[in-house]
Amino acid sequence: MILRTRTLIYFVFSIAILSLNVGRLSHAEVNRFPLKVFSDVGYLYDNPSSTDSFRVGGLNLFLSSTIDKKTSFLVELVFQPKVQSVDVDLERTYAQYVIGTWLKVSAGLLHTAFGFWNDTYHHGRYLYTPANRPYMERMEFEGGILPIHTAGVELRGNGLVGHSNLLYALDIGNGRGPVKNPPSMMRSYSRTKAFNLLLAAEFENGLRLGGNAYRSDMPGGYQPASDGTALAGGLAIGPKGTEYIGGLHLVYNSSLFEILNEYARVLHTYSDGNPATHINLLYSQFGVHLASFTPYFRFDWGTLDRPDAYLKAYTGSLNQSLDGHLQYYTLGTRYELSSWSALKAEGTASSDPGAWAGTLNWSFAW
Amino acid sequence: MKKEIKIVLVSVASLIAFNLASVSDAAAAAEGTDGFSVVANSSVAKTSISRTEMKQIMLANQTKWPGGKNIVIVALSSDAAEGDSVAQAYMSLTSDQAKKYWLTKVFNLVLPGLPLFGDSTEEVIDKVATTPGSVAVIPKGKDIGKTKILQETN
Repeated sequence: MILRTRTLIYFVFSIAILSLNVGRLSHAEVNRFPLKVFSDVGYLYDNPSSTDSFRVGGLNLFLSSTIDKKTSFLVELVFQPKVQSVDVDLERTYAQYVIGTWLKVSAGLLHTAFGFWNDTYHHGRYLYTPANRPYMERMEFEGGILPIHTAGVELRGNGLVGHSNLLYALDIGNGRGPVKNPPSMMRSYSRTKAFNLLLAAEFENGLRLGGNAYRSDMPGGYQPASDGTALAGGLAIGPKGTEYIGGLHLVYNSSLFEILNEYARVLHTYSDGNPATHINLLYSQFGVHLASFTPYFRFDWGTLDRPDAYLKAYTGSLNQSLDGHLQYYTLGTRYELSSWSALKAEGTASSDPGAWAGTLNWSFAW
Repeated sequence: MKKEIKIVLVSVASLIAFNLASVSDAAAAAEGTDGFSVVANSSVAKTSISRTEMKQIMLANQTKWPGGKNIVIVALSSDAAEGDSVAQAYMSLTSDQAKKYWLTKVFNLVLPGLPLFGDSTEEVIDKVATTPGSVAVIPKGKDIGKTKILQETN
């Protein structure tokens, strides 16, 4: 196992912040101190591509702190085990200034306010019911299609109208870079900033309806240099165009049922002669809470009408895995083992004959 | 064509499931909030609160009192006998689900921290009495100690 220097720096930095803050808190407040560590371990069987394996999940550190009555900050760090090393991903880091319930201004690296899942859940597997995220919610580094992260500014607010809560979020950020992963944290490759607008209505009975619209330039560009920068000097490989994404979601959460439905339609248009592509992504998840058990079923679906220049150039696996048409059927159950830990067992079959995977997962938080 | 049929079937199944869920949950929620009282710390200026407002506070959609002071939720834990019934009545969730719900709100900076939890009504009342800005839902008819009742309106 190789721990990179920056891994240690992040870790020491996080512990130092934690120590400083805990030292200032009373005993009662320590129980509320918003540091949580999420992790998981599992066992994976993947047929026919690999042997079955034990798997160590990521170590996810969430740290948030209220600086004063109006200002807060949040850091989410993920220590991600690889075959011969541990990578550190800075998943979210942002400060937030609250002007009122109707307007909160955040700046930094955020999860793009797409639909329900990406706006609600992050890396702690314990928080969501199944063992794995839906296909359309996969992170950029997992081969995901949607721009899960945005580096920039977010305006967010909510207000009560009758018995419902209306909310909005407007993200303005760097948008797509010449490479899909990692997100463009350090610079914008286009004069036009990316934006995403989310509108949703939440009702007291647990129903949430919403939609979002996203636009970003795909700037073209250069193959990244070895230090990760994508500036001049490399090989020009990126197609140039514009990405539009529209999404809808219908969610119902109650003490008995969990029903999640999300749909996204992605349009890539190119100004360099590449043909436009349309991508459809959808998942529908249904779970029933029966005491400590939550059996669930999920259907993932995706289509791609032709090989996409942007995604193909940088994630060759996308077109292979999506292959024009993708379907996953996932059946599983979650068992609440104790106050902060859950066991999950699920099996996923794909539309490819004979291809299926089984996952046992123990996720926990402390 | 088969793909479209499958999508339509899944959509229809979701809608049916949603309707079944609504009916079942409506039955579960029929008990309503009548058996509960809202208590607050003496620093809270309000003397009454609407049922909708209290639900929105529990759902973390309203996080500040008029005037800007933070609302601190004090909740019965899942170990408390009435924990599930309070969470069901005000959030349509169990107390364990409510805990996870609040945690997602903390890590989206909606709430500054998790609610304070009490394993019994008495413990909840003690925490409300000593925590400025706090509010809780407790079963009716309990000794409220040094807290004050917020009259619930419809």
